[in-house]
Amino acid sequence: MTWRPRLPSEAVTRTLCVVAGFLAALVATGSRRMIAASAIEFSLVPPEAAGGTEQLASIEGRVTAPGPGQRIVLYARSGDWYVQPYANAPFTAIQGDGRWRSPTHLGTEYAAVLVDAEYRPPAKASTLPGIGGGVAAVAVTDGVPPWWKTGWFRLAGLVAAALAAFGLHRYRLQKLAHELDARSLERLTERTRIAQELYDTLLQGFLSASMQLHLAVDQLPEGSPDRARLDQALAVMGRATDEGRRVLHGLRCGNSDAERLESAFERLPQGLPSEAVGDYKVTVAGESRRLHPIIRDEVYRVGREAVMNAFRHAQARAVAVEIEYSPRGLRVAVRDDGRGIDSRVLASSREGDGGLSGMRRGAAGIGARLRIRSGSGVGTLVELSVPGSVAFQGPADGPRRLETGA
Amino acid sequence: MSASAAARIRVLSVDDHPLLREGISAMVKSQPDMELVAEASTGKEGIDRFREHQPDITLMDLRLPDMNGIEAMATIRAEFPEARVIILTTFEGDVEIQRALEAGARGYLLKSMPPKELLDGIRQVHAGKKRIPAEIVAHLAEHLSDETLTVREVEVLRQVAGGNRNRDIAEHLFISEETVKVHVKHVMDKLGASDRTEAVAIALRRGIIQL
Repeated sequence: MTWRPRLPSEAVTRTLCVVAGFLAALVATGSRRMIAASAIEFSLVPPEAAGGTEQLASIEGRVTAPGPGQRIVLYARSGDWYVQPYANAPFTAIQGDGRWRSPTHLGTEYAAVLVDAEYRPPAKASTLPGIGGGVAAVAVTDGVPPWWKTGWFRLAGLVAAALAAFGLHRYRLQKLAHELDARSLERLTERTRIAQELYDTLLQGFLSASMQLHLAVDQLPEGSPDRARLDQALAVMGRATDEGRRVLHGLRCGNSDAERLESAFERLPQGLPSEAVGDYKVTVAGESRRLHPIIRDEVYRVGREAVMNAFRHAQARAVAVEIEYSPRGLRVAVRDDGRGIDSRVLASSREGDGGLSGMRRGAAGIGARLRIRSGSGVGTLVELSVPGSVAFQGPADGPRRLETGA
Repeated sequence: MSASAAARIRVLSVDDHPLLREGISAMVKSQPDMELVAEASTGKEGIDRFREHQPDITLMDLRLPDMNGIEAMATIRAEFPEARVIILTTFEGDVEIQRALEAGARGYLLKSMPPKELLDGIRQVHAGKKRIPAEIVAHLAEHLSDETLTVREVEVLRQVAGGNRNRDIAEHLFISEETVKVHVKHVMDKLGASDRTEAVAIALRRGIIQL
């Protein structure tokens, strides 16, 4: 099975770190602000609300070492600051242990002001009173945000979204891997059927003909010239039978599936007229790995199209195919020194664009990324990357079992 | 060679391919010490013809339309333990050869052999000897130490070859998906395959499963 769970790649880890940092900052913004150095603390803060007269909630806190006669004046903010709980009852007493407590109307922010006994607070103000003139300390806090507005909730939401995206990505890769498995199995059974049919018709007929020819030859007198000629024909038939049997065997067992991508690319020019091929070379970086046969064929097809385009349409003199195996995946780049692809053609996706749309379709079908960069005078670079979880079969350097064919 | 009609080796040929039957027929008929008593193109027909003629030698192909040649041979041998059956086929996987020999084949001959060798093989088996060509023996020896698959594992592998996913296989065989996974893993280990497709390919080649 091709799918193997992988550790998140470095890029993913980095992205997650950045996201986490951003989220931590987000969480931190709900902090409380002290205006004076004197210590007023809130121990119970009402929820954040637009404000109004309908609803009351408790607000509680503590003052460390208040002066004699000092008391607390509370404000709730609803645009302006309004004294709490009522304009005609603006003071909250401090108990012996420094604690204070009062009902308050709701607001976006809440403030507690430590004032001297003679201080007369304004019932409404656009800004809070400053320190001095009877004001000993001011503390302001945000109302407690509803749970769906809290940083933790947002953090959880973002983490869930990130996990979902990661999960979806994994799911899609897994699905792709399953699809590829199914496709190569289908191909194997199809080939086996073809082999079976060829075996049933051609090979059996050939064997029968050979048997009968043998018998006829045996009737001829030893040393007759006819016999020598027929013996030769029989030898040819024998070789053809063996060859046919081997080919059928290969078809049936998908031996060709074991071919490496690089050897396929190295053999590419063999199928082209020699005058059409200029300087062509294939390089391999990283340890060659066995590819999923469907992936190998599709990558080869896309790469071949790029090579053909370079020689045929771009009049390239040199084409280099770079194959790179890395833990991350497979990368194949086809570089040429030709005259480049017209940018309008590059941008379009219609048919007759020199196989570009076919290449794009091919890449999309195997979950690969195709990048084409081209410019006049600099040639063309066609780059195809396939994630490792989809592309590779088996371990990187595991011993490959050689199957002895019959 | 002047053998009387009574001493001739009476041969039954079971092969579904008409052209090949023609070749075998021509070959056997060209021998004065042999006689082709009947031909059959299916396993069932082969069994019927055997009951009818009780030939000295039966040439049996492995691939028949209605059943495997090994099954047909086993049926014949259950009824006629003395029956001398030669498997005459093209090159098959080691497991199939093994099964054929275990089921009591007296010889294993290849259709691609020169007729002289085939006819000698028929005579040897008729004389009570066993006949297995050297290349077949060598092929068998190659896999001698390989672990054989259990019946269940073969069943699972057959399902895999049918394009079934683990979940489907679990449903078909009334076992859990985890058990299927374990079976698949064992199959891959035993066959030395790196994935499911390769396991199927090796199994097809070695004759462990047929399509």
